[in-house]
Amino acid sequence: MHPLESTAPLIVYIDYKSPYAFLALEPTYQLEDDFGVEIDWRPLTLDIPSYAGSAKTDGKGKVLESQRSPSQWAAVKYAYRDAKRTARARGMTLKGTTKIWDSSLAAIGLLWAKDKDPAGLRRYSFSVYEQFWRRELDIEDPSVIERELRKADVSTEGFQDYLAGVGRARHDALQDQLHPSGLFGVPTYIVEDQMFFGREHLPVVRWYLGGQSGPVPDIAY
Amino acid sequence: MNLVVYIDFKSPAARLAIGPTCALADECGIPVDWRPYHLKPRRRTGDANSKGAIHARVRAEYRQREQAFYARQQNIRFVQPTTPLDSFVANAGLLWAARAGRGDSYVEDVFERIWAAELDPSSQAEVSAALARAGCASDGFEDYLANEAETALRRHADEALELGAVDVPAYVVADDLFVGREHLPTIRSLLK
Repeated sequence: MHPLESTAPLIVYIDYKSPYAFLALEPTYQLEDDFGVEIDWRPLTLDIPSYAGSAKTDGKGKVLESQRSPSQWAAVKYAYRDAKRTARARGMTLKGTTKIWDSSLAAIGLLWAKDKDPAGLRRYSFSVYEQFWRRELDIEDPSVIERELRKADVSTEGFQDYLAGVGRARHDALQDQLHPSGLFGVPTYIVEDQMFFGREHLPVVRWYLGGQSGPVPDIAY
Repeated sequence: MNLVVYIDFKSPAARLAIGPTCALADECGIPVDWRPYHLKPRRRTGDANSKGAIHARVRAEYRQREQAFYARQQNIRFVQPTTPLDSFVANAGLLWAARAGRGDSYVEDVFERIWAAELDPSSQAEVSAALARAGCASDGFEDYLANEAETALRRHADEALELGAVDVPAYVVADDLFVGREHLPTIRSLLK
């Protein structure tokens, strides 16, 4: 899988532990509905401690452990403040995480669901995101990921073998190609050989999918 | 309703926000209270081949492409500097211009010229000329730079950070803070 190439007109990279990718999910699927196009969903499993430091909290805001600089804390606090404001406005529940999760199992679930049933992937992604951001889903538990696939009506026969074998190898190989391809965050959109990071670019992604008619729109939430 | 906008002349994101922000202010018929937020340069130490350093490099390269894309969209001159800009004098000039009620003229002129590579934001002579173009007397600006500017800029930066601003442009409206021009549609709805 080349990170920037697809037979679909739009590639979208997401990570289930990203609040920004969570907020992008519904408006991004709206593109699929509005334009009748297929989206090639792919996982970009963020290594957050490598660029934003790491921390654990008690869930009520008390910091239990931290390897973050003051500027990293300020950036993380603003990011959550901004994401929660949007979530509130859209009637979504978004509770800050208490640690930095390893979301790779959920990401391998994405690859599995995509191969089995694109409609099932949609159900899977909404369900995983919504429960995870309510702090109701342990995405590090393989049985939980399998249960979510089943709930989404995606066949799970052979999934545990895939999770530990082919799926893991496929996921890790893709992650190794991301930085060399210029990919670093989520959500990222690849359309018409252009890359856009962040849902603020949805207007321009929409402009491309709609045939590039009229002036190029500016970024907007 | 009041619209406070924190900017730093060395920020390409702030440059790209000026046109849309001024257009919004005109549309809503409200003045903009421009304030300088003199950002500290980001210096990364440690292993240049660490994952974090590579992430930062890939992200910075992407940002340059993105900014060039939207500069073309806005049809503005936009020359990416080859070395980091020092915006201390230009940011202090904003405080000086704002005292004379000439912030709008100064901001638009200085941003346009810096990002067209026609004005050095660290040059006292060039910033003084910009103040004159904006209709401000620059007598005393040299003393201001030497004696008061650093403290005044630090006070504004502390105030912005206290509000939670981590970058520019940062907008304060209706007691809420928004970082980035992508929030302008929300800000428009708050102002109307």
